This record gives sequence, C-alpha cells and structure tokens, in this order.
Amino acid sequence: MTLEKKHISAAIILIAAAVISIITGRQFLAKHYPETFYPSPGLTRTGKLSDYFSGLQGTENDSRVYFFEGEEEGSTVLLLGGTHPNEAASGLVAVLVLENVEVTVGRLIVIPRANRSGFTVNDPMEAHPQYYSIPTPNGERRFKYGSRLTSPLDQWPDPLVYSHRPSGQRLSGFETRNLNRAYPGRPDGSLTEKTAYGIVQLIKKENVNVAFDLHEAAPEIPIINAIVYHEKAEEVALNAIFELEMEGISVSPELSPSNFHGLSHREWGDYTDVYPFLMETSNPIQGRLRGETSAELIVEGVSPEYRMALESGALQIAYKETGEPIERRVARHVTCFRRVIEAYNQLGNKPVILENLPEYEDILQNGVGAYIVAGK
Amino acid sequence: MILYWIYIVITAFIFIMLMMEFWKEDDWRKQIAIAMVMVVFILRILQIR
Ligand SMILES: [Zn+2]
Repeated sequence: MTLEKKHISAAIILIAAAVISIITGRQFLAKHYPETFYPSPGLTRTGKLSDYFSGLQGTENDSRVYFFEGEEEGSTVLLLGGTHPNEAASGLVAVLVLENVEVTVGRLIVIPRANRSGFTVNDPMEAHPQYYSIPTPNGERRFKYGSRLTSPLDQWPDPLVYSHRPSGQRLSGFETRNLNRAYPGRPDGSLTEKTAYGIVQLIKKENVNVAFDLHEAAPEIPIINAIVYHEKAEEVALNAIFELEMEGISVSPELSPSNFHGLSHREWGDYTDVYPFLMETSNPIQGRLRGETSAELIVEGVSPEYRMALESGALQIAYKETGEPIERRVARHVTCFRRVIEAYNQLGNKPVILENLPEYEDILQNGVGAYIVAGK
Repeated sequence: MILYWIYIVITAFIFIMLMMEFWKEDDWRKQIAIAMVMVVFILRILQIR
C-alpha cells in the first residue's frame, strides 16, 4: 500500500479527533466526582439514601443524608436541595443551611443533592455552563450546574409516554427522568422512581413532620416566588406567608392541585404524615427569553432580554429591574424555610429550633459567599 | 440491560462504518466533518457522555 496524501491528512485529523475526545472526555468525567461539603459543627451523623432503600446502593443516586439533632426532643424537618440540578439556588440553599445550622430542639435532615445523577450532565441544547462559582471572602467556590433530569447514562431509554404509578397520569416520555414527577416512587421502577421511593421511605422511617423541596423556575412561569403546600399544611403555609408579607417579602400561596401527580407537594402529603412545602424562586437562565447563557447569568441573574420584556409590560414575569441575583433567591428560600418552621412551631406542634442561619437582609448585604466555606 | 448492549453494538457498528468512510475520503474537509461526528461516537461508546 502506498501512502497517499489523503492518508496523511486522515492521520493528522484522527490524532486531532483523539485529542479533542480526551480533553472533552475528561471534562465530562469530572462532573461525576462528588462535590465536597463542609457541615457545621452541629452535624450529629450522616447516612445515605440506600439506608432507607437498599435498591439505591451502588447507583449514582445513593445520595448523602446529613443529620442535625438537637439535645431536646422535638419535631423532624427534612430539607431537600437539588431535585432539579439546573435550579442553582435549590442546591445552594441546602449547602448554606448544612454548613451553618445548629439545631437545639428537634431534628433537621438535609439532602443537598437529591438527584445526584442530574448533577453529572447538562440539559441538551441549552448552552448551560457545567459549573458556576460563588465568591467567598477566601476565594471562589465552584458548584456543579446540572440537568433538570436524571442522566440518560443512568436511565435509558425514555418511553414515548411516561405513565406515572400508581395514578396512571400520562406525561411526555422524558418526564420519566424528572424526580419531581416520580413520587411516591417504586422499588422496582426506574432509577428516578427508586430515588423517589428512597426519599419517601426516609420520610416514613425518620417520622419527618415537615419537609421542604426547593426549586427555581423561569421568570415567565406563573408559579414563582411561591410556596406550594399540601392542603393539610394550609394553616402553617398561610401563617408563614402572612409573616413574610409583613417583612416585605412577597410570596404567593399555591395550593397543591389534587389531580396533578408525582410531585413532592402532592405525593409526600398523600402517602406519608409529613407536611410538604415546595418553594420556587425566579432564575433567568431557565427562561426562554434569556440571551447570552453563562455562569454569570446564574449568579448575577441579570438579563437585558428579560428587562426588555419587563419594560414592554406585555408579559407577566418575575424579574426585577436589577435582575434576579443568587443572593436574593437564596435569601428568599432561607427566609421562607425559617418562617414556615416558625409558623409550624407556633401552631402548637412539637417545635424545631434552628439557630445560626442568616437573615434575609444579611444574605442580601453580605452575599451567599459569606455563609459558605471557601473550599479548595 | 439487553437494550443497553444493543445500543452500544449499534453505536460501535456506526462508528466502524464512519471509520471506513473516513479512510476512503479524498477531501480533507470532508475528513474533518466525519472526524467531528466520530468524537461524539467515541464519547458515547465509552459511556462518558
Ligand atoms: Zn424545579
């Protein structure tokens, strides 16, 4: 065989392709390494979701569970971050709470990465960054920015139509990888259903009384800056929202629809004794009107396109002139979380007292970075 | 699990076809185009992405 010109160019291009594969391959693989968290001294023990459902053992979604147990007996609260790993404030609030909280009465359980698999990938076609960084007094701390859904590498293929069990509700096929459409979950189902099942088992076995599922949504989504509650928790939710409004934090109360299945605020309430709350803030990078898509958009939340939409007045959007920065979104979540627990305590239930969490104005002024460890 | 292996076999098969086309191709610009597609298949076969 003679060496033709085309074979020389082919060899060069092949080497280039191999180099690109190695570089990008390493970047994609890096998203599988777990993030490091630095729990506060209030941490009493850690566990894993597989402690509650062994079917999760060895899977990407065998998430870490952190326990903060007070000296005095009281109620138990569960805080879930990272149900949708593309909703940055959700996972970040769970980390902030986990790295600061001291519990004096009752117990707090934190799962900062509910759908860990979703943190290993990004949503296709969105140009989303793989990471975002929060400035802290001692340097930047990097967090993974993930996909709304379980990674297709961990759960594949999607059916054409996703039939939710046990309700029989039919949704688009890709929703089969949406943790917040999978509750109450199934032990013999998909990885997403198994994860949901594990979380419900934890709620039951740990006798959780109040549970939070943190989210963010696009500014044009109607349910935003809201607390979604199950009907049995209405009094707690409305009392908390009244307090928040008195402080000037506007939150809309949303009753969980009884016929929309698979969601935490519906199924946790129906299948366990817990009072469930789902909270939403406004995250421009998730919106369809956004322009340049970058890690800064996640953190600073400034989008000229949304500002234009706001000024046009043609749309009802949750977007302020100055943007929707991560400080405000985190401050909202932390404050709503605290006020709901306080309302629960005030209504004569066995209390849960959380200390050392920043106030709304503190987070706005000092930034999120003041309340998390700098990391490496 | 069977589906998973069928998928990998199909992907590997297409990759081999691409490779054969790649070596037969005379135009270096088209070689680049094929190579770009191959990168995706390499990452997929190795289950990285
Ligand atoms: Zn969400």
